[in-house]
Amino acid sequence: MKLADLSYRVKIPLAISAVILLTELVVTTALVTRAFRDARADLEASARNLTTVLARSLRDPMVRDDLWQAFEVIRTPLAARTQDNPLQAIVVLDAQGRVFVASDPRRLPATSPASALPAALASVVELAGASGRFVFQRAQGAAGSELAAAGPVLAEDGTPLGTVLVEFDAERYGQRVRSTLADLALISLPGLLLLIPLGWYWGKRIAEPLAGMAQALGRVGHDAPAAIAAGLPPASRDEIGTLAQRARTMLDELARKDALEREVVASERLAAVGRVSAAIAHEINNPLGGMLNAIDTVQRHGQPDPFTHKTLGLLGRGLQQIRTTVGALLVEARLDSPALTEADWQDLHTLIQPQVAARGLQLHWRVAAAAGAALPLPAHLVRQLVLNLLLNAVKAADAGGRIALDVTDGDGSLAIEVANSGAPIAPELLGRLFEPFAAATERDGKRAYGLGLWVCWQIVQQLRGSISADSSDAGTRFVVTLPVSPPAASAA
Amino acid sequence: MSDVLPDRNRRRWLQAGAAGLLSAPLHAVAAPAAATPLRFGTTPVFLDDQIALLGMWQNYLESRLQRPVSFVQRGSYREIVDLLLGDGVDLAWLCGYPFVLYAPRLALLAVPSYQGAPLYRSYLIVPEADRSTVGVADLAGRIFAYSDPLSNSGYLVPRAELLRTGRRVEGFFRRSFFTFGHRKVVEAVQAGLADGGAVDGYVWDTLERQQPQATTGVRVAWRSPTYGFPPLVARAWLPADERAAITRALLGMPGSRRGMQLLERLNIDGFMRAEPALFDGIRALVRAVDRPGA
Repeated sequence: MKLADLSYRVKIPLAISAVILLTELVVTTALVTRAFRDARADLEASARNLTTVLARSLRDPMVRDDLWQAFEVIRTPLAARTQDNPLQAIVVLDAQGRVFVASDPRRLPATSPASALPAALASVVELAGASGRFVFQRAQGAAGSELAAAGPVLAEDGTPLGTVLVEFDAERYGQRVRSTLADLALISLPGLLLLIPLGWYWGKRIAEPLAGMAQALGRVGHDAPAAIAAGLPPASRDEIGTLAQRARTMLDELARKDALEREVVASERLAAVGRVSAAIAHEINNPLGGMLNAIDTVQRHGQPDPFTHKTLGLLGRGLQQIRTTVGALLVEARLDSPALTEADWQDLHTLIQPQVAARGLQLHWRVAAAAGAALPLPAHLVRQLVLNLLLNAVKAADAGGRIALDVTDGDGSLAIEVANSGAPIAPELLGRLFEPFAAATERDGKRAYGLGLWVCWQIVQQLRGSISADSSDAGTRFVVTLPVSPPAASAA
Repeated sequence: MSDVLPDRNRRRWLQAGAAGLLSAPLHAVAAPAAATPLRFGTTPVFLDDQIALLGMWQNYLESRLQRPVSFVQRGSYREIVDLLLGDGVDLAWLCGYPFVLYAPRLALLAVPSYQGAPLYRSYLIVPEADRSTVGVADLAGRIFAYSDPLSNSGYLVPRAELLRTGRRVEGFFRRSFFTFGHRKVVEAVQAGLADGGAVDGYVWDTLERQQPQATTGVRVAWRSPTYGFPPLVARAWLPADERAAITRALLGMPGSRRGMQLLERLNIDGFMRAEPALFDGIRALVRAVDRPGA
């Protein structure tokens, strides 16, 4: 699995942990280095101090060749040291480099030659050399590495009297340094144990919104945009919040696009149906006219016998019916249709009353004043449209329910609403409601197939308006919007 | 020698103690120099840093002599001798050797009795690990620790012993030094600084008894013949009555509780009168060492 494929819920905590570890490492290294340097510097300083003090105290005994006094001088610092003090031994050399006195006389008896010195001390002596300066260094001895210092013992006039050597136990010194290191580790370890889980938790929290968004966007195409939007992180001013806001906007537009698509698809379908039915109507109307004429001619100018007359009458009625059906299939605008007036609305009210009463329904009728005035719309078409809607409403309403008509005029358009209470239209039927011979609501197990809403749709198309339906448990409602052309163009 | 002496000497200093007790009040009234302080010179040769001990001695003497007593400590016999002869101190606890050297100008006050007699020996000490040394002559080319140039047990005796065995003193040891303290000679041998040393036998015995850890790792390789115990001396021209008073005070120590405590701490039986002849042995050593060719 590539590193790039890891979830951010792992990447970010990992990065944070790495930073914490690196920081601790850098800080600890710095502290350790500092501790080493300090320890070394401390020891060197104390060695310098000691050799200076000893050199001064050894001056008189060495001048007087007082072996015992010199011995007492170098014994004192050794007797006074504490448990962790790495001071190990002190040796005094005379001006010829021989041992004058040593703190451990069994190892280095007085008057021993310089060659008797252990390697560590011999090397500092060499380094100090004739220059007679203070020297401090780590040297390789027989028992491992040792630390030693050398300082000159000078007479009052600066004449070299000898050298004082100080030996340190590197092991005890090392122990002191190691204990400092242990202390450091003890401090940094709990810190690590605390910080890393904390950092991990924090990192995950930062990555959560990102994961949430990735998951939500993954549902696009499968779930409804509204449901997906709910899973997005809350809006905020940071980058993820901005992304989430944009995603929400995008999902809104996606929902709108979906709705628009559905509308377009429905319209296209109806338009296609319209074109087909128009074509069929024309094809049928052409021979139909001729056939009806022929029958009329025979009945009027011929002398058909009673059987033929009866048959012709049958034929004529049948062809008429075909004509009516085709006529409904293809609604044709009549240029000579008068304008819509208040009287038309009153007629409609009168016409629907019996149906309403027959089903025992309540009727709500409201026509706004401005809407009821004369409007440059073809009255026949509008009447047919509204009547169809009203009749459908009456049929669809539940027993003892309610029918409502609301006519208002908005800026440049007439709005007609026809609503009924009752069982809702099934969603799958809503999409094809206006198609000719589409299934209407099932009621009592019967299916009604009709052209009523198809005719409404055709009228609305011709008048360049819009019609829509929505249905819920509260009832069904049809909204028609018809643009009203300016008075100048509405010549009767 | 010490078996014969005890009875005789015990009688002697008991007598002296009684005499001292009886005569003390008289002398306290009659002594003209009672108010002036008595200066007592000491060296680390014997008492080392036992300040508490000096305090006890001071209390005892002040109460017996009815005059203030102050102790003057110096680092060597040489300094104390100079002080004695220069009126710096009135009395001092010296070794027999400087007494012999300056005899006309020093007066004997009293001498301690140790293990029944006013005698002691010089010990040659070596590290315990050295099982072969039986005398100073075995330490040719080694490092040797003396105590004080004016010490009989700590300087004169080993040198005289070398001469007696036919050896030259100069150059015999590879290196020698002075510690100016018998106890420090023991330390030097214990630490390995010296391969051998000469100490006052009384000091060694007392150390072994009172602070045994100070003598671990060291053994006595040789014991000298007896010599006169280091005496208490005053300058010869100190008024005789003062000298007598001090002598009586010293001799009367067993008679008081404080005195007995002091004697116990000093690890001696008591003090007794001394004759110069007691130090003839040391005189003989001096003569032997001063001979040309030594």
